[in-house]
Amino acid sequence: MKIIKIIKIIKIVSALLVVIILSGCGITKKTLGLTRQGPDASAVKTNEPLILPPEYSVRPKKDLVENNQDGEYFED
Amino acid sequence: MFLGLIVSLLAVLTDQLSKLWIFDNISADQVIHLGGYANIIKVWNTGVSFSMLNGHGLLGTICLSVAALLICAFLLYWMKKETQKVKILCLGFIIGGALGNVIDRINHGAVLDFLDFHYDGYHWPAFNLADTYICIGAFILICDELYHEYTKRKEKNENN
Repeated sequence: MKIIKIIKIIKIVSALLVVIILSGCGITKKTLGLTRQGPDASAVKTNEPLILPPEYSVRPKKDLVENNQDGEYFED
Repeated sequence: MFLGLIVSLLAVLTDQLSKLWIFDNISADQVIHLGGYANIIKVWNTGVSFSMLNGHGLLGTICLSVAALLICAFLLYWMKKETQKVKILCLGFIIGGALGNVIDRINHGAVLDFLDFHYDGYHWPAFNLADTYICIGAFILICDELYHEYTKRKEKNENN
């Protein structure tokens, strides 16, 4: 009796496996744009090491700094 | 056997005609809304159900096609031996559906799915007529098997 039951279960599982192998239903989320596309952690560029800018010792002219009330940037 | 082959042929024909219409009339990013719970879309699946075994290239396509053809050969042998009409019909549906999907794999390298059903934002994987035939055939086969088991047991109990 037990063997017959096992054979029945095997038959049903085989039928389900056949359905899975033969059919080809596909996930639609990507097509419909429903997948979230967040940033890829591995694709983030590593930061370059901090360096001093060239001619860092050159300071802005004194009068320009004094006139810069609004904190604007002046180029020489 | 003959009845099963006719059903298989009809299944392949309707499946291929529906896919041909979708292939010619629907673009890749087009979605046709059918009411609130269904869409017609164009999805290519190189794998099996639920997009499993997807993306294995030509080798995957060949393996899946060969596996499907072997299963079809077994089902044909079963259909030849079978005497019950219901089972012959079911096997015809399964073989037809399977061949419909194999034709797609050979022609395009993937199966074309276009029926998308959804509810409350949850989408069932898109499927086609071939998938429907396979599922209906297998479902009735399993139900028939379980029903026969039930009636056999009932008869046995009545005799005792």
